[in-house]
Amino acid sequence: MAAAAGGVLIRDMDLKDRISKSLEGDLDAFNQIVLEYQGLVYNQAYRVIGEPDAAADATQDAFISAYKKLHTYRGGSFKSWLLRIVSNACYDEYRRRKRQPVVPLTPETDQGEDLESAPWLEDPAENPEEFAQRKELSAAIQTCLNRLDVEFRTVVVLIDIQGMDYASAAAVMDSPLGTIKSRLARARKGLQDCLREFKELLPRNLRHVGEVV
Amino acid sequence: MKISNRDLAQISAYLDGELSQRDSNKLETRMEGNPEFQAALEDLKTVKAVLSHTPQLSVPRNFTLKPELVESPQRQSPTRGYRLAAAALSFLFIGVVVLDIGSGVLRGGLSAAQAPKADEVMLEAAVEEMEEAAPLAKEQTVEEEIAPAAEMEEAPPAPEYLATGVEGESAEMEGEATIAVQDEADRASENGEDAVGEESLDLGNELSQDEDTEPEEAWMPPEQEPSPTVDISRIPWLRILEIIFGLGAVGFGAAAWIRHRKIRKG
Repeated sequence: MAAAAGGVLIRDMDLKDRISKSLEGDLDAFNQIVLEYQGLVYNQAYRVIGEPDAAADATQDAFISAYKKLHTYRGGSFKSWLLRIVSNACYDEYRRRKRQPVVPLTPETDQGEDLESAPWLEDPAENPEEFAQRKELSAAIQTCLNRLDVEFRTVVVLIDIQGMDYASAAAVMDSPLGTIKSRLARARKGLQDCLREFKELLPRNLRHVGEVV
Repeated sequence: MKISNRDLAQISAYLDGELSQRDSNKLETRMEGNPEFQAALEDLKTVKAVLSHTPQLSVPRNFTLKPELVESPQRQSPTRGYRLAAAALSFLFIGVVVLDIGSGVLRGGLSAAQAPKADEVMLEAAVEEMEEAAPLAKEQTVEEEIAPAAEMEEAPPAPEYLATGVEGESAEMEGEATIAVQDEADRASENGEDAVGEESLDLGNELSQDEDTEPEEAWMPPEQEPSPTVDISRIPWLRILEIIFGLGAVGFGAAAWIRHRKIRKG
Protein backbone atom coordinates (compact mmCIF):
# COMPACT_ATOMS: atom_id res chain seq x y z
CA MET A 1 0.00 0.00 0.00
CA ALA A 2 2.78 2.36 1.03
CA ALA A 3 4.75 1.33 -2.06
CA ALA A 4 1.78 2.09 -4.28
CA ALA A 5 1.34 5.49 -2.63
CA GLY A 6 5.02 6.13 -3.10
CA GLY A 7 4.73 5.20 -6.78
CA VAL A 8 1.87 7.64 -7.27
CA LEU A 9 3.87 10.34 -5.48
CA ILE A 10 6.86 9.79 -7.74
CA ARG A 11 4.59 9.82 -10.77
CA ASP A 12 2.99 13.07 -9.57
CA MET A 13 6.40 14.60 -9.06
CA ASP A 14 7.41 13.44 -12.51
CA LEU A 15 4.28 14.96 -13.94
CA LYS A 16 4.83 18.29 -12.20
CA ASP A 17 8.40 18.33 -13.37
CA ARG A 18 7.36 17.58 -16.94
CA ILE A 19 4.68 20.22 -16.84
CA SER A 20 7.06 22.90 -15.60
CA LYS A 21 9.62 21.92 -18.24
CA SER A 22 6.90 21.98 -20.89
CA LEU A 23 5.92 25.45 -19.78
CA GLU A 24 9.50 26.51 -20.43
CA GLY A 25 9.13 25.25 -23.98
CA ASP A 26 10.58 21.77 -23.61
CA LEU A 27 8.52 19.83 -26.14
CA ASP A 28 10.22 16.53 -25.30
CA ALA A 29 8.99 16.83 -21.70
CA PHE A 30 5.47 17.39 -22.97
CA ASN A 31 5.76 14.44 -25.34
CA GLN A 32 6.49 12.25 -22.29
CA ILE A 33 3.12 13.34 -20.95
CA VAL A 34 1.56 12.61 -24.35
CA LEU A 35 2.92 9.07 -24.37
CA GLU A 36 1.58 8.48 -20.89
CA TYR A 37 -1.94 9.80 -21.57
CA GLN A 38 -2.53 9.09 -25.24
CA GLY A 39 -4.28 5.75 -24.55
CA LEU A 40 -6.74 7.39 -22.18
CA VAL A 41 -7.34 10.32 -24.51
CA TYR A 42 -7.75 8.21 -27.63
CA ASN A 43 -10.17 5.80 -25.93
CA GLN A 44 -12.26 8.66 -24.60
CA ALA A 45 -12.34 10.28 -28.05
CA TYR A 46 -13.15 7.03 -29.82
CA ARG A 47 -16.02 6.12 -27.49
CA VAL A 48 -17.53 9.58 -27.74
CA ILE A 49 -17.14 10.10 -31.49
CA GLY A 50 -17.39 6.49 -32.60
CA GLU A 51 -15.05 6.80 -35.59
CA PRO A 52 -11.35 5.91 -35.48
CA ASP A 53 -10.12 8.62 -37.84
CA ALA A 54 -12.16 11.31 -36.16
CA ALA A 55 -11.00 10.07 -32.76
CA ALA A 56 -7.37 10.26 -33.90
CA ASP A 57 -7.89 13.81 -35.16
CA ALA A 58 -9.58 14.82 -31.91
CA THR A 59 -6.77 13.25 -29.90
CA GLN A 60 -4.11 15.14 -31.83
CA ASP A 61 -6.06 18.40 -31.55
CA ALA A 62 -6.53 17.83 -27.83
CA PHE A 63 -2.79 17.43 -27.23
CA ILE A 64 -1.94 20.48 -29.31
CA SER A 65 -4.55 22.45 -27.40
CA ALA A 66 -3.28 21.09 -24.07
CA TYR A 67 0.27 22.18 -24.90
CA LYS A 68 -0.86 25.66 -25.82
CA LYS A 69 -3.12 25.98 -22.76
CA LEU A 70 -0.79 24.33 -20.28
CA HIS A 71 -0.36 27.64 -18.43
CA THR A 72 -4.07 27.44 -17.47
CA TYR A 73 -3.53 24.23 -15.50
CA ARG A 74 -3.65 25.28 -11.84
CA GLY A 75 -2.88 21.98 -10.15
CA GLY A 76 -5.43 19.37 -9.09
CA SER A 77 -6.26 16.38 -11.25
CA PHE A 78 -4.31 16.59 -14.50
CA LYS A 79 -6.45 13.77 -15.89
CA SER A 80 -9.63 15.79 -15.35
CA TRP A 81 -8.05 18.90 -16.85
CA LEU A 82 -6.90 16.94 -19.89
CA LEU A 83 -10.23 15.14 -20.35
CA ARG A 84 -12.01 18.46 -20.32
CA ILE A 85 -9.87 19.56 -23.27
CA VAL A 86 -10.51 16.19 -24.94
CA SER A 87 -14.26 16.56 -24.47
CA ASN A 88 -14.21 19.95 -26.15
CA ALA A 89 -12.06 18.60 -28.99
CA CYS A 90 -14.50 15.69 -29.36
CA TYR A 91 -17.52 18.00 -29.58
CA ASP A 92 -15.75 20.08 -32.24
CA GLU A 93 -14.75 17.00 -34.21
CA TYR A 94 -18.17 15.43 -33.78
CA ARG A 95 -19.93 18.53 -35.10
CA ARG A 96 -17.48 18.81 -38.01
CA ARG A 97 -18.02 15.16 -38.97
CA LYS A 98 -21.79 15.54 -38.75
CA ARG A 99 -21.65 18.30 -41.33
CA GLN A 100 -19.48 16.21 -43.64
CA PRO A 101 -20.15 12.90 -45.44
CA VAL A 102 -20.13 9.83 -43.19
CA VAL A 103 -16.83 8.04 -42.82
CA PRO A 104 -17.21 4.23 -42.74
CA LEU A 105 -17.08 2.73 -39.26
CA THR A 106 -15.20 -0.34 -40.47
CA PRO A 107 -11.55 0.31 -41.24
CA GLU A 108 -10.72 0.09 -44.92
CA THR A 109 -7.62 -0.57 -46.97
CA ASP A 110 -6.38 2.02 -49.41
CA GLN A 111 -8.43 0.23 -52.08
CA GLY A 112 -11.61 0.70 -50.04
CA GLU A 113 -11.90 -2.95 -48.94
CA ASP A 114 -12.84 -3.79 -45.35
CA LEU A 115 -9.94 -4.86 -43.21
CA GLU A 116 -10.28 -8.17 -41.37
CA SER A 117 -9.31 -6.48 -38.15
CA ALA A 118 -8.41 -3.00 -37.11
CA PRO A 119 -4.71 -2.96 -36.22
CA TRP A 120 -5.32 -0.87 -33.08
CA LEU A 121 -7.57 -3.60 -31.68
CA GLU A 122 -4.96 -6.30 -32.07
CA ASP A 123 -3.31 -7.64 -28.98
CA PRO A 124 -0.51 -10.16 -29.65
CA ALA A 125 -1.07 -11.79 -26.23
CA GLU A 126 -4.59 -13.10 -26.92
CA ASN A 127 -5.71 -15.98 -29.14
CA PRO A 128 -7.85 -15.42 -32.26
CA GLU A 129 -11.08 -16.46 -30.54
CA GLU A 130 -10.58 -14.07 -27.64
CA PHE A 131 -9.66 -11.35 -30.06
CA ALA A 132 -12.84 -11.94 -32.09
CA GLN A 133 -14.99 -11.83 -28.94
CA ARG A 134 -13.33 -8.67 -27.73
CA LYS A 135 -13.76 -7.04 -31.08
CA GLU A 136 -17.45 -7.96 -31.23
CA LEU A 137 -18.10 -6.77 -27.70
CA SER A 138 -16.33 -3.51 -28.45
CA ALA A 139 -18.42 -3.04 -31.58
CA ALA A 140 -21.67 -3.86 -29.73
CA ILE A 141 -20.94 -1.37 -26.97
CA GLN A 142 -19.97 1.25 -29.50
CA THR A 143 -23.15 0.67 -31.49
CA CYS A 144 -25.20 1.24 -28.34
CA LEU A 145 -23.17 4.28 -27.33
CA ASN A 146 -23.68 5.78 -30.78
CA ARG A 147 -27.44 5.66 -30.23
CA LEU A 148 -27.17 8.04 -27.29
CA ASP A 149 -26.95 11.80 -27.52
CA VAL A 150 -23.36 12.97 -27.37
CA GLU A 151 -23.79 14.60 -23.90
CA PHE A 152 -25.21 11.37 -22.43
CA ARG A 153 -22.51 9.37 -24.16
CA THR A 154 -19.76 11.53 -22.71
CA VAL A 155 -21.07 11.13 -19.16
CA VAL A 156 -21.38 7.37 -19.36
CA VAL A 157 -17.94 7.00 -20.95
CA LEU A 158 -16.33 9.18 -18.30
CA ILE A 159 -17.96 7.35 -15.38
CA ASP A 160 -18.50 3.76 -16.50
CA ILE A 161 -15.58 3.33 -18.90
CA GLN A 162 -12.94 5.75 -17.59
CA GLY A 163 -13.99 5.13 -13.99
CA MET A 164 -14.36 8.73 -12.86
CA ASP A 165 -16.56 9.80 -9.96
CA TYR A 166 -19.51 12.17 -10.37
CA ALA A 167 -17.65 15.24 -9.12
CA SER A 168 -14.77 14.74 -11.56
CA ALA A 169 -17.17 14.12 -14.43
CA ALA A 170 -19.05 17.28 -13.48
CA ALA A 171 -15.76 19.20 -13.54
CA VAL A 172 -14.82 17.75 -16.93
CA MET A 173 -18.19 18.54 -18.45
CA ASP A 174 -18.62 21.81 -16.59
CA SER A 175 -22.11 20.72 -15.53
CA PRO A 176 -23.89 20.52 -12.17
CA LEU A 177 -23.74 17.28 -10.23
CA GLY A 178 -27.50 16.76 -10.57
CA THR A 179 -27.23 16.95 -14.36
CA ILE A 180 -24.49 14.34 -14.37
CA LYS A 181 -26.56 12.08 -12.11
CA SER A 182 -29.69 12.21 -14.24
CA ARG A 183 -27.83 11.98 -17.56
CA LEU A 184 -25.93 8.94 -16.37
CA ALA A 185 -29.10 7.17 -15.23
CA ARG A 186 -30.85 7.84 -18.52
CA ALA A 187 -27.78 6.83 -20.51
CA ARG A 188 -27.57 3.55 -18.61
CA LYS A 189 -31.26 2.91 -19.22
CA GLY A 190 -30.77 3.54 -22.94
CA LEU A 191 -27.78 1.23 -23.06
CA GLN A 192 -29.68 -1.46 -21.19
CA ASP A 193 -32.41 -1.46 -23.85
CA CYS A 194 -29.84 -1.55 -26.64
CA LEU A 195 -27.59 -4.22 -25.15
CA ARG A 196 -30.47 -6.72 -25.11
CA GLU A 197 -30.03 -6.90 -28.88
CA PHE A 198 -26.42 -8.04 -28.44
CA LYS A 199 -26.95 -10.42 -25.54
CA GLU A 200 -24.98 -13.26 -27.15
CA LEU A 201 -21.93 -11.03 -27.49
CA LEU A 202 -21.80 -10.18 -23.81
CA PRO A 203 -19.74 -12.15 -21.28
CA ARG A 204 -21.79 -15.18 -20.11
CA ASN A 205 -22.31 -13.87 -16.59
CA LEU A 206 -23.78 -10.64 -17.95
CA ARG A 207 -26.24 -12.01 -20.49
CA HIS A 208 -29.26 -11.50 -18.25
CA VAL A 209 -29.33 -7.78 -18.98
CA GLY A 210 -32.91 -6.51 -19.08
CA GLU A 211 -34.43 -9.93 -18.39
CA VAL A 212 -35.94 -9.00 -15.03
CA VAL A 213 -37.95 -6.01 -16.27
CA MET B 1 -45.65 0.77 -12.49
CA LYS B 2 -43.01 2.62 -14.42
CA ILE B 3 -40.05 4.01 -12.49
CA SER B 4 -39.72 7.77 -12.80
CA ASN B 5 -36.53 9.36 -14.11
CA ARG B 6 -35.92 10.83 -10.67
CA ASP B 7 -36.13 7.45 -8.98
CA LEU B 8 -33.95 5.93 -11.68
CA ALA B 9 -31.33 8.62 -11.07
CA GLN B 10 -31.46 7.90 -7.35
CA ILE B 11 -31.04 4.16 -7.91
CA SER B 12 -28.18 4.77 -10.34
CA ALA B 13 -26.42 7.09 -7.89
CA TYR B 14 -27.03 4.56 -5.11
CA LEU B 15 -25.30 1.94 -7.23
CA ASP B 16 -22.25 4.20 -7.57
CA GLY B 17 -22.21 5.08 -3.88
CA GLU B 18 -22.91 8.73 -4.73
CA LEU B 19 -25.92 9.19 -2.45
CA SER B 20 -25.70 10.67 1.02
CA GLN B 21 -26.21 8.28 3.93
CA ARG B 22 -29.68 9.72 4.56
CA ASP B 23 -30.75 9.34 0.93
CA SER B 24 -29.29 5.83 0.77
CA ASN B 25 -31.28 4.78 3.82
CA LYS B 26 -34.46 6.27 2.41
CA LEU B 27 -33.96 4.50 -0.91
CA GLU B 28 -33.19 1.18 0.76
CA THR B 29 -36.43 1.45 2.73
CA ARG B 30 -38.41 2.10 -0.46
CA MET B 31 -36.61 -0.69 -2.28
CA GLU B 32 -37.44 -3.34 0.34
CA GLY B 33 -41.09 -3.57 -0.61
CA ASN B 34 -40.66 -2.69 -4.27
CA PRO B 35 -39.52 -5.43 -6.68
CA GLU B 36 -39.41 -2.97 -9.59
CA PHE B 37 -36.85 -0.86 -7.82
CA GLN B 38 -34.81 -3.98 -7.13
CA ALA B 39 -35.02 -5.08 -10.75
CA ALA B 40 -33.96 -1.63 -11.94
CA LEU B 41 -30.97 -1.75 -9.63
CA GLU B 42 -29.98 -5.19 -10.99
CA ASP B 43 -30.25 -3.99 -14.58
CA LEU B 44 -28.17 -0.92 -13.91
CA LYS B 45 -25.59 -3.10 -12.19
CA THR B 46 -25.36 -5.32 -15.26
CA VAL B 47 -24.99 -2.37 -17.63
CA LYS B 48 -22.29 -0.91 -15.45
CA ALA B 49 -20.50 -4.28 -15.41
CA VAL B 50 -20.73 -4.64 -19.22
CA LEU B 51 -19.32 -1.18 -19.70
CA SER B 52 -16.49 -1.92 -17.29
CA HIS B 53 -15.58 -4.79 -19.65
CA THR B 54 -15.27 -2.39 -22.56
CA PRO B 55 -12.03 -3.30 -24.31
CA GLN B 56 -9.36 -0.65 -24.13
CA LEU B 57 -8.19 0.17 -27.61
CA SER B 58 -4.55 0.49 -28.50
CA VAL B 59 -3.69 3.82 -30.01
CA PRO B 60 -3.39 3.64 -33.82
CA ARG B 61 -0.26 5.81 -33.72
CA ASN B 62 1.74 8.04 -31.42
CA PHE B 63 0.35 11.51 -30.90
CA THR B 64 3.60 13.14 -29.84
CA LEU B 65 3.90 16.72 -30.99
CA LYS B 66 6.38 17.99 -33.52
CA PRO B 67 7.73 21.54 -33.32
CA GLU B 68 5.97 22.55 -36.53
CA LEU B 69 2.60 21.51 -35.02
CA VAL B 70 2.85 23.85 -32.07
CA GLU B 71 5.26 26.55 -33.17
CA SER B 72 3.99 27.28 -36.63
CA PRO B 73 3.00 30.92 -36.92
CA GLN B 74 -0.70 31.64 -36.90
CA ARG B 75 -1.86 31.38 -40.46
CA GLN B 76 -3.62 34.56 -41.47
CA SER B 77 -7.26 33.87 -42.07
CA PRO B 78 -8.24 34.27 -45.72
CA THR B 79 -11.44 36.02 -44.68
CA ARG B 80 -9.61 38.51 -42.46
CA GLY B 81 -9.71 41.27 -45.08
CA TYR B 82 -13.45 40.93 -45.60
CA ARG B 83 -14.12 40.86 -41.89
CA LEU B 84 -11.99 43.95 -41.30
CA ALA B 85 -13.72 45.80 -44.11
CA ALA B 86 -17.14 44.81 -42.76
CA ALA B 87 -16.14 45.97 -39.27
CA ALA B 88 -14.76 49.29 -40.52
CA LEU B 89 -17.86 49.99 -42.59
CA SER B 90 -20.08 49.06 -39.67
CA PHE B 91 -18.30 51.61 -37.51
CA LEU B 92 -18.62 54.25 -40.21
CA PHE B 93 -22.29 53.40 -40.62
CA ILE B 94 -22.92 53.78 -36.91
CA GLY B 95 -20.98 57.07 -36.88
CA VAL B 96 -22.99 58.51 -39.75
CA VAL B 97 -26.28 57.38 -38.20
CA VAL B 98 -25.34 59.04 -34.92
CA LEU B 99 -24.34 62.20 -36.81
CA ASP B 100 -27.59 62.14 -38.74
CA ILE B 101 -29.72 61.72 -35.64
CA GLY B 102 -27.67 64.33 -33.78
CA SER B 103 -28.02 66.93 -36.52
CA GLY B 104 -31.74 66.16 -36.75
CA VAL B 105 -32.18 66.79 -33.05
CA LEU B 106 -30.12 70.00 -33.32
CA ARG B 107 -32.19 71.20 -36.29
CA GLY B 108 -35.38 70.37 -34.49
CA GLY B 109 -34.24 72.35 -31.45
CA LEU B 110 -33.35 75.40 -33.55
CA SER B 111 -36.60 75.44 -35.48
CA ALA B 112 -38.48 75.00 -32.25
CA ALA B 113 -36.74 78.07 -30.89
CA GLN B 114 -37.61 80.13 -33.98
CA ALA B 115 -41.24 79.06 -34.23
CA PRO B 116 -42.69 77.46 -31.16
CA LYS B 117 -44.54 74.26 -31.86
CA ALA B 118 -47.66 75.43 -30.05
CA ASP B 119 -48.05 78.19 -32.62
CA GLU B 120 -47.65 75.73 -35.46
CA VAL B 121 -50.35 73.54 -34.03
CA MET B 122 -52.64 76.48 -33.54
CA LEU B 123 -51.99 77.57 -37.09
CA GLU B 124 -52.94 74.20 -38.47
CA ALA B 125 -56.06 74.12 -36.33
CA ALA B 126 -57.03 77.57 -37.48
CA VAL B 127 -56.55 76.70 -41.15
CA GLU B 128 -58.75 73.64 -40.72
CA GLU B 129 -61.38 75.68 -39.00
CA MET B 130 -61.28 78.25 -41.74
CA GLU B 131 -61.92 75.56 -44.29
CA GLU B 132 -64.82 74.24 -42.27
CA ALA B 133 -66.22 77.70 -41.55
CA ALA B 134 -66.26 78.74 -45.21
CA PRO B 135 -69.60 77.13 -46.10
CA LEU B 136 -71.16 78.45 -42.88
CA ALA B 137 -70.20 81.93 -43.82
CA LYS B 138 -72.26 81.79 -47.01
CA GLU B 139 -75.44 81.39 -44.98
CA GLN B 140 -74.78 84.26 -42.65
CA THR B 141 -75.37 87.03 -45.15
CA VAL B 142 -76.36 89.68 -42.61
CA GLU B 143 -73.12 89.55 -40.80
CA GLU B 144 -71.35 89.42 -44.10
CA GLU B 145 -72.42 93.01 -44.87
CA ILE B 146 -71.28 94.25 -41.49
CA ALA B 147 -67.86 92.65 -41.73
CA PRO B 148 -65.43 95.48 -41.87
CA ALA B 149 -63.02 95.37 -44.73
CA ALA B 150 -60.95 98.06 -43.15
CA GLU B 151 -60.09 95.73 -40.31
CA MET B 152 -58.11 93.69 -42.73
CA GLU B 153 -56.16 96.66 -43.96
CA GLU B 154 -55.22 97.71 -40.47
CA ALA B 155 -53.85 94.32 -39.63
CA PRO B 156 -50.11 94.16 -39.07
CA PRO B 157 -47.91 92.52 -41.73
CA ALA B 158 -47.55 88.76 -41.42
CA PRO B 159 -44.39 87.47 -39.83
CA GLU B 160 -42.07 85.68 -42.20
CA TYR B 161 -42.23 82.31 -40.53
CA LEU B 162 -45.98 82.33 -40.67
CA ALA B 163 -45.90 83.14 -44.32
CA THR B 164 -43.81 80.10 -44.97
CA GLY B 165 -45.97 78.00 -42.66
CA VAL B 166 -48.91 78.07 -45.09
CA GLU B 167 -47.54 76.58 -48.22
CA GLY B 168 -48.50 77.40 -51.75
CA GLU B 169 -50.43 80.61 -51.23
CA SER B 170 -50.19 83.56 -53.50
CA ALA B 171 -48.51 86.62 -52.13
CA GLU B 172 -51.64 88.72 -51.69
CA MET B 173 -53.89 86.07 -50.27
CA GLU B 174 -51.11 84.73 -48.16
CA GLY B 175 -50.89 88.04 -46.32
CA GLU B 176 -54.62 88.19 -45.70
CA ALA B 177 -55.00 84.60 -44.70
CA THR B 178 -52.05 84.60 -42.39
CA ILE B 179 -53.21 87.79 -40.76
CA ALA B 180 -56.54 86.20 -40.06
CA VAL B 181 -54.88 83.04 -38.88
CA GLN B 182 -52.42 84.94 -36.77
CA ASP B 183 -55.20 86.96 -35.22
CA GLU B 184 -57.07 83.85 -34.41
CA ALA B 185 -54.03 82.08 -33.05
CA ASP B 186 -53.13 85.05 -30.87
CA ARG B 187 -56.63 85.40 -29.53
CA ALA B 188 -56.92 81.69 -28.97
CA SER B 189 -53.76 81.68 -26.96
CA GLU B 190 -55.05 84.61 -24.94
CA ASN B 191 -58.67 83.63 -24.39
CA GLY B 192 -58.39 79.88 -24.33
CA GLU B 193 -60.33 77.32 -26.24
CA ASP B 194 -63.72 78.99 -25.86
CA ALA B 195 -62.61 81.93 -27.87
CA VAL B 196 -61.62 79.72 -30.78
CA GLY B 197 -65.18 78.51 -31.25
CA GLU B 198 -66.53 82.05 -31.39
CA GLU B 199 -63.87 83.26 -33.68
CA SER B 200 -64.50 80.61 -36.21
CA LEU B 201 -67.59 82.61 -37.14
CA ASP B 202 -65.61 85.80 -37.50
CA LEU B 203 -63.11 84.03 -39.60
CA GLY B 204 -65.95 82.70 -41.62
CA ASN B 205 -67.10 86.26 -42.17
CA GLU B 206 -63.76 87.38 -43.26
CA LEU B 207 -63.43 84.48 -45.59
CA SER B 208 -66.92 84.91 -46.99
CA GLN B 209 -65.95 88.44 -47.93
CA ASP B 210 -63.00 87.06 -49.74
CA GLU B 211 -65.10 84.49 -51.47
CA ASP B 212 -67.19 87.25 -53.02
CA THR B 213 -64.21 88.42 -54.88
CA GLU B 214 -62.11 85.35 -55.76
CA PRO B 215 -62.90 82.52 -53.36
CA GLU B 216 -61.41 79.73 -55.44
CA GLU B 217 -58.12 81.42 -56.18
CA ALA B 218 -57.51 82.25 -52.56
CA TRP B 219 -56.91 78.64 -51.55
CA MET B 220 -55.54 77.16 -54.75
CA PRO B 221 -51.85 76.35 -54.44
CA PRO B 222 -49.87 78.07 -57.18
CA GLU B 223 -47.83 76.11 -59.70
CA GLN B 224 -44.35 75.47 -58.41
CA GLU B 225 -41.82 77.03 -60.67
CA PRO B 226 -38.92 74.70 -61.41
CA SER B 227 -35.85 75.87 -59.61
CA PRO B 228 -33.06 76.60 -62.08
CA THR B 229 -30.30 75.73 -59.55
CA VAL B 230 -30.04 72.75 -57.22
CA ASP B 231 -29.66 73.66 -53.57
CA ILE B 232 -26.69 71.50 -52.61
CA SER B 233 -27.39 71.91 -48.89
CA ARG B 234 -30.70 70.07 -49.34
CA ILE B 235 -29.13 66.87 -50.71
CA PRO B 236 -29.30 64.29 -47.89
CA TRP B 237 -25.61 63.39 -47.91
CA LEU B 238 -25.82 61.66 -44.59
CA ARG B 239 -28.57 59.39 -45.84
CA ILE B 240 -26.54 58.51 -48.93
CA LEU B 241 -23.52 57.73 -46.77
CA GLU B 242 -25.68 55.63 -44.45
CA ILE B 243 -26.87 53.56 -47.39
CA ILE B 244 -23.37 53.17 -48.83
CA PHE B 245 -21.77 52.18 -45.53
CA GLY B 246 -24.67 49.97 -44.49
CA LEU B 247 -24.74 48.07 -47.77
CA GLY B 248 -20.94 47.82 -47.75
CA ALA B 249 -20.89 46.34 -44.24
CA VAL B 250 -23.58 43.81 -45.10
CA GLY B 251 -21.87 42.95 -48.40
CA PHE B 252 -18.44 42.38 -46.91
CA GLY B 253 -19.96 40.44 -44.02
CA ALA B 254 -21.81 38.17 -46.42
CA ALA B 255 -18.68 37.72 -48.56
CA ALA B 256 -16.65 36.74 -45.48
CA TRP B 257 -19.31 34.24 -44.44
CA ILE B 258 -19.57 32.67 -47.92
CA ARG B 259 -15.79 32.38 -48.21
CA HIS B 260 -15.57 30.90 -44.74
CA ARG B 261 -18.17 28.27 -45.64
CA LYS B 262 -16.39 27.42 -48.88
CA ILE B 263 -13.11 26.91 -47.02
CA ARG B 264 -14.79 24.72 -44.39
CA LYS B 265 -16.40 22.59 -47.08
CA GLY B 266 -12.93 22.22 -48.44
